[in-house]
Amino acid sequence: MNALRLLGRKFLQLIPVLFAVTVLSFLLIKLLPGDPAVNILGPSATKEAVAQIHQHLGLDKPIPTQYLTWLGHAVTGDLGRSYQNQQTTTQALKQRLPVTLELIVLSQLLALAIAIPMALIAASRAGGLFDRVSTTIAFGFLAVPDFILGVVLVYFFAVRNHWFPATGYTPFSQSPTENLRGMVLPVLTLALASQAVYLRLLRTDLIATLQQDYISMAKAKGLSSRYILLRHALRPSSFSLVTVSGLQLGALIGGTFIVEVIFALPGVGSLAVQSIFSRDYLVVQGIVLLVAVAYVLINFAIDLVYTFLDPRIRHAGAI
Amino acid sequence: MRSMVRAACAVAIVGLVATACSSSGGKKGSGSSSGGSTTAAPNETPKPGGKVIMGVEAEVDGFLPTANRFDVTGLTYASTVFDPLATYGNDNKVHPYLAESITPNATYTVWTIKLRPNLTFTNGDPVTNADVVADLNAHLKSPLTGAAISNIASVTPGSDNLTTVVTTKTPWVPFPVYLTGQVGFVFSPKMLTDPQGSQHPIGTGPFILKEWVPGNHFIATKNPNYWQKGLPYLDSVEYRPIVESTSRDSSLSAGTIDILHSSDPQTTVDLKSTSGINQINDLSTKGEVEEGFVMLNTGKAPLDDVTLRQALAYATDRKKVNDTIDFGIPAISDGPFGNVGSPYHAATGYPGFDLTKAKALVAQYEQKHGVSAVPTFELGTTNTGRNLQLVSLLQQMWGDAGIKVTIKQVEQSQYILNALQGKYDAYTWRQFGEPDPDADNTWWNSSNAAPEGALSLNFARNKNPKIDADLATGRQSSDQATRTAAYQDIATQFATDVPYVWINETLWTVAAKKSVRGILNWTLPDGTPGVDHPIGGFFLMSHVWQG
Repeated sequence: MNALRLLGRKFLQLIPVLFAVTVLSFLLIKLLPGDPAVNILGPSATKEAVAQIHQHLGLDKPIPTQYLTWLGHAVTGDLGRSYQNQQTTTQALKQRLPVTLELIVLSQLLALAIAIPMALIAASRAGGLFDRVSTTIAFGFLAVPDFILGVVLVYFFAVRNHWFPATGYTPFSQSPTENLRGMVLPVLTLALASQAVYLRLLRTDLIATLQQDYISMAKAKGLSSRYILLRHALRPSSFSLVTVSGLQLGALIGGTFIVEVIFALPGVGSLAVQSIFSRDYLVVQGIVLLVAVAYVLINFAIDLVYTFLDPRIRHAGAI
Repeated sequence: MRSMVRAACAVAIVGLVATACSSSGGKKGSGSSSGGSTTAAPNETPKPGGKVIMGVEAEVDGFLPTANRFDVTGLTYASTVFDPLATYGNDNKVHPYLAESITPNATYTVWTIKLRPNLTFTNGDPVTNADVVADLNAHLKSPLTGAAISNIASVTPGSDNLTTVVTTKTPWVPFPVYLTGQVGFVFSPKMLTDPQGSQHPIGTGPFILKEWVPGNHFIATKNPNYWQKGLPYLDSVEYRPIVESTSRDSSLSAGTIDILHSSDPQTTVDLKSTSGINQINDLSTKGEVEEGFVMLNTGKAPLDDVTLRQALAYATDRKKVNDTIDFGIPAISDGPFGNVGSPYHAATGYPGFDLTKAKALVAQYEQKHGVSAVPTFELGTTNTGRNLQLVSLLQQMWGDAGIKVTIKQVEQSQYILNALQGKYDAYTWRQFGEPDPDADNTWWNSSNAAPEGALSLNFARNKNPKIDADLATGRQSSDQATRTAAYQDIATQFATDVPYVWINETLWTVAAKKSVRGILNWTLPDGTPGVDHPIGGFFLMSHVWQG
């Protein structure tokens, strides 16, 4: 019952959040300089031609009317059509979302797979050689921007050795092997940066946890260091990691554009950039809505994960 | 992202007229090719079958010629599924392509276009004059393409179902040039009535659209009923938009794609020493190329004063700009016509770099407007790193001459709007790559120069009756020497008026694996050789094959 009540409360909270997000984003996009009609027409944009395009796209109507029209359609699942290529926004997102989700999920799984064991080793021997080397490497990856890392990986693994394709995307349904080959470099680009954040975060929390009294008690009872780390220290040290990785997942849905551009991946990020440049308002709105929903749902999921990580939260009904 | 941005700065209506060459008679134009001659393959027999993947620099917004803007990628996609009524031969003249003939009357006011017999669209419908009439009339009404052909008075069916009659408002000698590009592609009028018509092309082209996922790929398969027997050679072709030029270059080097085109000089640098790749670029193309320049608003102070404009020209070290921003690779520009291979290019008398003269002109300006009147204005550009570098360099050069400039970066569509409305002082720009200067009439004619606030297609708002007279001569004279002289005079007028501070020319490169053949050396339907170099990054995929 508690869980159901919780779900209901969260979904009710979702409605005003989404409403506020869409209103603000619609207004912000409208306030930006530029005009889709001029983008479409280019330099031959005469006054009459611009007016004709405005009328055709419904841009001659007041902004509140435009927003309400969009909202009315959006609640029925119709997010409108691109001004540029007449593709429906839903269709565009359906085509693009799997690419971005695959990129995000694979990269974050890889990042966690690298970061968690490394953080455990580094924290268990804090100040040791492994800790110092892993910290240095982590700072190195944090300092290198995605676009540099991507280009370097392409140079070594695609241009010089032809091991992986430099650009492009093959759907998993078409060829699982080609799909995974194509995703290796972009996934690695995102994962190397993310793992550095996760490693630093978890290592710090683990070191703090390892100084708690109950850990000393466990040691006094003769439990092995490995057992203590995995059974007693890791779970309570994972709060920041879970929060950050969750937020990272949400942020990456619309924030992978640099990697998507470098590797020519047809994901949501590259669609967002393209749509913003061409003032394709309805597509931008669709992406904003998608990202907002993703954020809210991911935060909801994080709240649920907390209850499993810390029974005190569950029993106190703190969420 | 660099190429995307560069392309965004190019605002010429390149698609309306296929960006082509028009060299003086008999001169064999050839793009600069490196890495061997396998791309040209003059003596090899084409091998049918196979597939090529081409990396293109942008995505298109659709396939409907009256509604979607055909830049070089648009032309590439369109020529895959449509055919133009005319195209360029290696004699640098316009030849009929889907049309069997294009004939003027004695005064060049009536043009008769006759289609080849037995043509069919890919949906099985026959192609008749009704389709050509519908297409051209739709173009006339189009806000996108109508302005370019506004000299057409009427388009009507001719005496039989293959003939179309185009009547023009004034004698229009270079009219067939307009049938080589966006306006010339013949498409089924059913696309006009289908709300999704822009995504479902119905043409007569060498390939048929199989799948288009915007932003990812466009795959087309061989048209089994293509009207040119034996063509296309390839079974299928795939285009992948890769907007970042370095990624496109890496993709070719890594073997992920087979061909690319690029307007970024970085490509020439990236692929220079890569083995297994041929490069064909515009360094020796015998035709028009786009010019890069700073456009000055002559309609408002302070740049309404020609003394100040001339000072800017003298203060600009074009070689230094070219070396710093574009690796010194493209040719330096001194007028609206390409100084490498354009038949319209001649010595223009455009001011060379001379800081002393620039300072003297600035002093003259200050004397005229008051001693304390240091010339000050805003230099605008779009939001890119490369463009910021460019304007920063110009700011420094012009500052050395005593001209104070503030830099303003503006979003792309707002930028175009500001240029249209005259709400700018000086803007970086890229334009004038049309193969026949008649297509520039719109941009240079005084009748299209309006005051600030009013929309003006003569963005620089330069008014010069001599230029207007030359434009009329270029449009109406059938004597090529007279036309050439008229356009050369326009370039000379620009050198004096200085509505544009010329910088350098756009360098297009087509690069391909050595196994790819047929980009050069192909044959027109009448058996004569086709144009022997890519035109602004565009070539016909129907003649390409895998060796």
